[in-house]
Amino acid sequence: MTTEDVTDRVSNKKDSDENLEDIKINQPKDTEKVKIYSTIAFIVVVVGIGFPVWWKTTEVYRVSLPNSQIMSLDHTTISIKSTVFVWGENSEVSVKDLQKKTFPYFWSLNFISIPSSVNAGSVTELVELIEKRGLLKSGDFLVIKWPQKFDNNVEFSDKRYAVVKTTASSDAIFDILNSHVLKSKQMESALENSHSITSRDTSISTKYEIVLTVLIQSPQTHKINFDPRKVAKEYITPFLSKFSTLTNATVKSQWKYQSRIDFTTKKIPDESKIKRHYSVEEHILPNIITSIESKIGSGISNHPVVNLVIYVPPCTQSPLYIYQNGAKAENSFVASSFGGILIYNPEEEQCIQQLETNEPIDVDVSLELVSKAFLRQLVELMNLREYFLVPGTNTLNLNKVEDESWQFDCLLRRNTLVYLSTTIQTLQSLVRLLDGISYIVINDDVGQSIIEANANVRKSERLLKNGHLKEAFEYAKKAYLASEHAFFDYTLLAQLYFPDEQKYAIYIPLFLPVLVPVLSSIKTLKKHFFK
Amino acid sequence: MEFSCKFLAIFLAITILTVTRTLGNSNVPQKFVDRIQKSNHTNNWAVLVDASRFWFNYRHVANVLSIYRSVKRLGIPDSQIILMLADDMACNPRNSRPAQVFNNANQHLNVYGDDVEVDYRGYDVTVENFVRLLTGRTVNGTARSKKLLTDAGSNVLIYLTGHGGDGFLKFQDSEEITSQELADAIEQMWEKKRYNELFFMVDTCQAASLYEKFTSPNILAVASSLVGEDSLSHHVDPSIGVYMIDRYTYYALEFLEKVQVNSQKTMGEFLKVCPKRVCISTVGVRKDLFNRDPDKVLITDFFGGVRPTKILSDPIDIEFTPEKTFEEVNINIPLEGAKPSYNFPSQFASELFD
Repeated sequence: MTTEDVTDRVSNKKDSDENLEDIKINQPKDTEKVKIYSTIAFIVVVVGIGFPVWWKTTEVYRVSLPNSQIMSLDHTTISIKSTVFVWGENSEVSVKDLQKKTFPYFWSLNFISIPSSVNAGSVTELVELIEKRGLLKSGDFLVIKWPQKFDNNVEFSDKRYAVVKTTASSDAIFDILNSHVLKSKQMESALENSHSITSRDTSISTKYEIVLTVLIQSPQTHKINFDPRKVAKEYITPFLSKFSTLTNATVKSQWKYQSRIDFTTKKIPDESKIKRHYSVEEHILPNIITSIESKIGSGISNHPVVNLVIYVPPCTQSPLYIYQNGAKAENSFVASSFGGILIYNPEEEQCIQQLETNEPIDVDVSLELVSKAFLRQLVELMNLREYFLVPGTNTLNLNKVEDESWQFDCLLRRNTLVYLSTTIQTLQSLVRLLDGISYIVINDDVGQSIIEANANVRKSERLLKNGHLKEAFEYAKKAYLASEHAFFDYTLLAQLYFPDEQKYAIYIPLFLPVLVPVLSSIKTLKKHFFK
Repeated sequence: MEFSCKFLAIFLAITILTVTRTLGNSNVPQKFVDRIQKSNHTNNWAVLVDASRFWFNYRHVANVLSIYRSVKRLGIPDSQIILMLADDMACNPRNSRPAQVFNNANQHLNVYGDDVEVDYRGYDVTVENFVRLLTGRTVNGTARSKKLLTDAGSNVLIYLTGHGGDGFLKFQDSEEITSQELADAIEQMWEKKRYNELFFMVDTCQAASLYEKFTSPNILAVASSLVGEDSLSHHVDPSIGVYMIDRYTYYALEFLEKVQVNSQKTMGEFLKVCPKRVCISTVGVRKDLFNRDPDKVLITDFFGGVRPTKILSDPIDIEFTPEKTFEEVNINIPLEGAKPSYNFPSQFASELFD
């Protein structure tokens, strides 16, 4: 029974085996083909579609940039065109001589002599006549050899000309042009040392805030009669508006009471009625700034801040004088990163009275004196002295500062050069960094800024070469702002947490289970095709 | 003829060489050498980071506050110190001495002081914020006081403490900055000319691994321990119940406390503050990127503050005619017969959004 069963089963098995073999014989043509095709399809999908899609979607986004163009920018190839007109006796000879002189490499100067047929009774009339002809544009200069006698060798005007003696040699004119009018040295340093110019440099930053602060340590005993708003409105704002083409400034004012300033003073007995004064040594001044800085809250502003501080010391500590090299100096000082501080001592007699009676006193602060001191500090901070102080004098007449003057041209030129060289440097360092650091993202906005900065640098250089100073400045400023925006934009770091190593670390565990069967099936494919 | 010319040229070259050699030993170039050794920075900045939180990491807060205390005392203003503190130990409920953080068990020196300005605190202390700070790419709207506004004249001190490993420093128990990211950030600072010289100081385990990838010039780096070594804490205060401070910073602070503003102590001395005998770990120093000789660099070049001031002594008359403005008078004349009218503004949201 059982054996039969067994044989039966065996035969059954045999039957089924035969059937199987039958199927197998038919299979290679259908199923195996399907198998192979499906394997190929899998490989095509994974390698041909999946891999590129993954690569593309996880790529660090970067707009294509004109890298080679940016790297070919060079601040040493900048050339500045300026036309110098000469009028007067033997002007043709002077022009010929000047053309032979060598000016620093970045100048491409054009000397033109104005024929003596253009003539007038006075210098001003003559200049008007020449201006009417459309000459003397921004960046140009006129040297007039006037027969009248002067005390000085040269008289600079507030416009775009200077008057020299008829006897002035070409060497003398060259000297005047090179060191005073064109200020080659300053231009060269602006071009070369662009890295020393910082966002804190007042004359370079395109936007900043001026904060006038009145600091009073003991308001209970000192009532200050002073209106900082008036200083701002009548002096600071009109002064700054003269430089509005260069920078944009807003003026604010504030009072600070009860703010103790920590610094060491020395009591020095003297001959005055109060019989003593206090001194603060020059090397202590940074401490005063540090102490004041923490109290006036300049960190609130989004732009660089220039502080102008007037400090009225209490009677117990006044008069207070700054000592320099063992002698009394001016009570006003500046620090480029902070601004200026003015120490304003109350009247001596009032202080004697205050110390005796302990009654509060009225301190009348001279508006004009303080305003002038603040302006002096601003002139120092903005480095205007070099440009506007007439050589050989001590008077700086700020009323005469105007856009259409050779001094302003000079300042404009300096800023243009600084902007250009800084922009070139920024763009090139950005390109170098992009090569080295793979996770930096350049999105459309930043890419646009870079392209714009590059284009504007070129435009500005071209305008400078053709003698359009004002337009060149505008483009240089635009380029500078765009390049700074591009370099410091926060989106550059969007992929900070996802550098390349992490990309593989995260995706390999995900893809491995898919890849293993695909890869192993390549072997079967190989077997199939290369039997 | 040609031969004699060549000979003459060679002879001249040799004499010039020997002359310059002998000059090299005389006094004249010494002045030049000294001038190179003198720092020409115009401002100082400090970035002080404590990357770890939780009470048992009290010592890291004490570390970073020790350095904060020193740089502030030596003259770097608060506006130029960026302090990142991942946790507030002074006000931690487990602190039995509230509002105080001490650097040793005797509790003599309260490093918390009276006036600590923390720029990034708690969960703001992240790798992202740190890198953004260094590279200057802060998110729009970041306050100026939270930015590193350095320039080509800045000497920058970077101090990091927390838990580190080979090639990384852990931030907040959840993320880490790698030595590569640090090196990249500093390279970007250098490319944009945002520092003059940089002193990099780390107190973590395997700290030396953090400065290994640096390639930018003018960096002097010191680390509390070499790769493969742990950096150890100094001692426990039983009354507070935690380790007070790490060994390296403890000895660094001990040294810095003796430094005054006009001190002549050098960085060379500072690099040797913690010999292996007291530190147990080996202090790592990297000088190859640094141009000057650390033995001639004043410690105040990095820990002190300079601020060039100028007294306006030279007589210059400013002439300026002010633009007179009229006195502002507040005119407030009540209109006769006009009754003031009052009305109620709507108070319920349902009325507002009808």
